[in-house]
Amino acid sequence: MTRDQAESLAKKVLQAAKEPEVSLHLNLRRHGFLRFARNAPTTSGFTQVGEANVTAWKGKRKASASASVNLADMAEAESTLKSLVSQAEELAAVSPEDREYMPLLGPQEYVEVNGYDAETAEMPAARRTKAVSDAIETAKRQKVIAAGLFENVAQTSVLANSAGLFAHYPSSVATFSVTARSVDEQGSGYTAISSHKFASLDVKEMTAIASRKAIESRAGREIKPGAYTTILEPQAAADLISRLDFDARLSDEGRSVFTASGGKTRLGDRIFDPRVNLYVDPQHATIPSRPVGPEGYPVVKADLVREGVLKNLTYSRFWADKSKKQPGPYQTNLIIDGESTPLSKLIASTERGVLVTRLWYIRPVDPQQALFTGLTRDGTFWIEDGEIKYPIKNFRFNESPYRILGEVEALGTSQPAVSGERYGDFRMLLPAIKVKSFRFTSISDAV
Amino acid sequence: MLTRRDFLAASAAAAAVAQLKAAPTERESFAEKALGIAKKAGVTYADIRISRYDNQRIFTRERQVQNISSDSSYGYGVRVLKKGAWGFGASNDFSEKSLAEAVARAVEIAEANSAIQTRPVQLAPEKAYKATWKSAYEIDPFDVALDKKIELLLKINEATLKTQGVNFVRSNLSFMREDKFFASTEGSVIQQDIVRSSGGFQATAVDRAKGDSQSRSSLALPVQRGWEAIEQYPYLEEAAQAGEEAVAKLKAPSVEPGEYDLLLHPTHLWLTIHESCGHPTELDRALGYEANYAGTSFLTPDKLGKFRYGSKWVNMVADRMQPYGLATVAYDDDGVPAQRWHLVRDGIFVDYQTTREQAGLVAGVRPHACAHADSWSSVVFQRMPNVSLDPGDSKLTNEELMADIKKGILILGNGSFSIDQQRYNFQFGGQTFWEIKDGKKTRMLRDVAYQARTPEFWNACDGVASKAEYELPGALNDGKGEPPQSNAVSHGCSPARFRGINVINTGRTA
Repeated sequence: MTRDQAESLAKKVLQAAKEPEVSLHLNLRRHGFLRFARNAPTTSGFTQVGEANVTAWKGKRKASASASVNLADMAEAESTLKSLVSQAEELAAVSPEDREYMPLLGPQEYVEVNGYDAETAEMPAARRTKAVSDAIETAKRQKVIAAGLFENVAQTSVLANSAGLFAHYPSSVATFSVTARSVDEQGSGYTAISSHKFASLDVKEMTAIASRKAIESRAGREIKPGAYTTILEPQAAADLISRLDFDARLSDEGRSVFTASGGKTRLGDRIFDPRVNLYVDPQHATIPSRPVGPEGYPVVKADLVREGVLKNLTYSRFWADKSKKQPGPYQTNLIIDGESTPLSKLIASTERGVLVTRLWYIRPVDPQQALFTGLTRDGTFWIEDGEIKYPIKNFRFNESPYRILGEVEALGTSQPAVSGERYGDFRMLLPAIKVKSFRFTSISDAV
Repeated sequence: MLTRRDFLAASAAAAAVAQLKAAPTERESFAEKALGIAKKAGVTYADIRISRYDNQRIFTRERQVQNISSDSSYGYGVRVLKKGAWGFGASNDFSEKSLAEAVARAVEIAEANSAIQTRPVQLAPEKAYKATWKSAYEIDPFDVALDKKIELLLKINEATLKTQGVNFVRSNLSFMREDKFFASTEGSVIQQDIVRSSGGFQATAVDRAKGDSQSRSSLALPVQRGWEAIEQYPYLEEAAQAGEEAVAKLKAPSVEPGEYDLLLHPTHLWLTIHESCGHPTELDRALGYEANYAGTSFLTPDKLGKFRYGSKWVNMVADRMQPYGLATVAYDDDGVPAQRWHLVRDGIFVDYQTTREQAGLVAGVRPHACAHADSWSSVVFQRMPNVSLDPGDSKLTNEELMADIKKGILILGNGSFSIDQQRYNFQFGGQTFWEIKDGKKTRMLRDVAYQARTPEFWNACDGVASKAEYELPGALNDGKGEPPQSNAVSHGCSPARFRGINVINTGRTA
């Protein structure tokens, strides 16, 4: 769906609407995937899905209608979309007034983002088979058993409204993740990588790393649960830190870790170690992301935390208006600056501690302290006298990303990461993080 | 009094809506074309699912409606087996050109992958069925007026806000219809219609001076029923109680960590069953097919028929025919008739959840109709049936179970939940926690979570209440697979007692 096609379609549909305020979101997704396990392919497919969401306001009354839409046929799409507009308008007519009504945003300027790569978007099935075949062959050479997923997505996202806003964002993403397990089922390793450019994914190297971790993590010893100096590899750091919720409203309402006692927020407070810079940048060359936020508000480069100080919380348009703030910053990616210290030096500087390569099944326990529980997985190691001494059994943790970012001992070099539990195009760039203490509460026998 | 049907009928774009209401004969004809193209391409097996998914959702907070949404997704997915490998193509473009492309993509994928397939996919033999089936409901929730639904939600919110100290409340209603047509090259033609309903809320009390907040969510859980389920649930009474309990949680004493006997109510225990029995008895996990995402299982095939999973009280039954169960169907997405079977009998692990494709992978394992895809655009794979703790002929009551506890905690509702990738180590919270002292429920506690190892936990079960106290809670969003899919599933149980379980304190001092 080209920009011109989308613009023409949106114009026709919005002009035909009865109500003066209508917003239209279209998404066309072409998705190829090949899953593998036990060193062989399992399920595999190609899907083309067009979706539309229409929100209509009748005065301050609001409602939404969504449906699958055939965006390959513009005449059929126009008909379906007009039907959806009617549905949303009729639903809005019987809805109560929206007490948080905000007028539609007019035309916006968006930063230019090149997140589309034709080779990635238009990949044939044989190319996915080749990538997975390379991964399986690498695993077989290392005498491990591999399971994983290779997928490529081409997506076009369009937002238009009757106040003249129009945004068109084509993107592509290729993602590869692999778990290697030792034949005796005593060791496991994992790696994942995602990029808008397939060519930057080194499937063989990623599989080799996962295989090494599987072999080196075999037969982990039992270490007593407790608080230890801990190094989170970028994958593990991404798994946990992506859980921090910077929502301003929750903080103002007194139910967030960013709420200060007495009903204020921690904005302006030094909350983390001064080396921690945490920000959003849709134009980042390695992890470009959507420059269009909720309701079409632009996403721009913006700090959440700079030198450990909380600079921004994320305001919805309504809450920003009420609080006399600017909306955003919206997170379509997340970056934490690293330093030039390689992982090996973080390990070398550790007298006694734990190296965590991945975290899993992370769930909130107490939002007020951003406390989460979860487990280590796919390779956990004991460090002593600056060296990895031996693999250890997995731990359950009860820990807060908020607390550990205040206890940073050192940062490694930044690298791209995707959370192992979350899907979609949310990508991060962050370093390995060494923290003074990380609270492990029990042992898991799982390998 | 506008209903969804009204506005569909009133819609001007008749063509698009007509497509959403495709008649059974049109589907059969479309399916015949698809399967014909696949056969010409030399496949050994093919099936097509033509499905429509309708959802209506209403969200409110405090005294306002946040959003009302109606969505509908309609399309088809074609699955082929060629040279021993699977291929799949899906689209919502119903043109002949697009259908031919979708089938061609599926065939192309199967052919490409067959080059690296080590063991050809084999399907267990199955008869061909021609059938139609509808889930049980009395009132179609899509026919109920929108203002009636909004009124209920705003009344729920008002009932919680009546309690001084309740600052926030959110509530929602969701209704889902799944309209699935299945046809295969083996001759099956199956039409199934499923309706599910869900309603819930969460009240929150904030102590700004202390910088503390506590929430109490509804204990109501989704069911495979219609609007009558919403009408019959005592939402307003529970909302008033939840408001009081959210405020009480702010002042409740923090639990002293240590060993406690636990009395787990069905509104809590269902999720423990789901995570610690539902998932480890999935054969795909046990064999490593889910190793990269959901994980594997400690219940490996060598333990089948031998491993003591739990005490003699523990009988876990898988059932895709259970009335009102969220995973209840007449046929699975392989076209296999629904079944009921034991996973754990008298504490011993005896069987797995399986599909046609998996039947030959482990000796003695039969296909149990567990194939499912969450959308026309998703691939079919093994998903969880309803898995329930069968109380058998127990005569015990909840009161009798409590009477025999000296130091314990009664837990209701679901809170935080987490379990490792082989389903050994878990941690569960809840909504409300009540101290049990010398056989009596005494005071509310807070900051409670329990940690245990699955076999030790189920072997610590020494009593299950009778069928009279049986409930069938569940969830709509069980995640598994890559690309990830969602599954609706129920887990029936009566209150049950567990001895000497490790309780931790999740509060600020933890």
